[in-house]
Amino acid sequence: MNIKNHNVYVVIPAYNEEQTLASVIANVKHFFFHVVVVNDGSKDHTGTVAKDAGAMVVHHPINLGQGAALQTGIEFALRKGAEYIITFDADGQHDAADAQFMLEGIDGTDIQVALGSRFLGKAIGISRLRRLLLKIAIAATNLSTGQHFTDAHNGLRVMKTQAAERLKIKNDGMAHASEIISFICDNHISFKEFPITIQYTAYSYNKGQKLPDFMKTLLNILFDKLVH
Amino acid sequence: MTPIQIILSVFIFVFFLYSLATSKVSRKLSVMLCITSLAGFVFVWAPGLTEVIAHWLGVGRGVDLILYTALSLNSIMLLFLHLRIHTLKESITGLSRELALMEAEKPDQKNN
Repeated sequence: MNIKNHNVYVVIPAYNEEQTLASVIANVKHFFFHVVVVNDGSKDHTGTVAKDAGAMVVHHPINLGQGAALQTGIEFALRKGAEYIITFDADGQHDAADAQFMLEGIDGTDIQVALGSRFLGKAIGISRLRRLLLKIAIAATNLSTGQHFTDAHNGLRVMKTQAAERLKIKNDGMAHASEIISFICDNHISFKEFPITIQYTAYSYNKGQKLPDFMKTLLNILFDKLVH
Repeated sequence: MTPIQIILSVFIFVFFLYSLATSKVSRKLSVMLCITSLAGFVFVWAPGLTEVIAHWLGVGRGVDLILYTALSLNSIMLLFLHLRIHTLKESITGLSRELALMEAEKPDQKNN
């Protein structure tokens, strides 16, 4: 299968990511034609870097948050006629080879969404605290949804059009990850987890989820459980 | 008539005018604020009434009743403001997104 010729769009939300974005896009371009960077009101040269690296760039006039940027990128990809949409982090944690592996894993099957799992694969350089917080979030998600996820807050996902069209992310910030999981469970969307490798660096730690984000996510899961 | 009664009455009168002005935004909110300001006005000029209501509700002193009521009303206002900000934020997100997508889909956009 020549994935390059498929209508696959890789959506990368980016806020002040000029440092890593060029290498991330180069890595993605090695596997996929269409790369959409949503420049989420960056104050640095993220937009220019993305454009020079050959990505399509959608500019948010102000910083809205990663969840909002993802939704914008997904809507843009759908308008362009995407059949598959991949969400990918801009901080260099992900490997596009994993995205290709996930895409091949659901292509031609009934599975609508592929979710990357660092705990089925590898989490290189992860701190004990980050591992603990993620495990707590996963346990809360599993308790809330009644499903068994091994990783609930991974930014690497592959979605087919049918699923992406129904997804309307309301959480503008980092809490969108648990919202996507709830969306999958509430709408009985078929999914499969795939082992992937996450490479933690000092840069990605600085850019990634902080303790308040985890707390907000846990509160969202709790609120979601109470509402339903 | 004490000076504090006059000062509080002026504040409550301004609050009452604000309550009337909010009727265009939300009639329910306006009615709630009007009742609150009128109750405040009554309590300022008849402080003994708070003692009667406090005893009836099982609260020790009238001043405690005012404090508890003020705290409860503040909490409700905070919740209302939070919801209002959330709605505004959703509108800003939607507007920004449409603007971003419109700009990106312009035919002369070279990077697309």
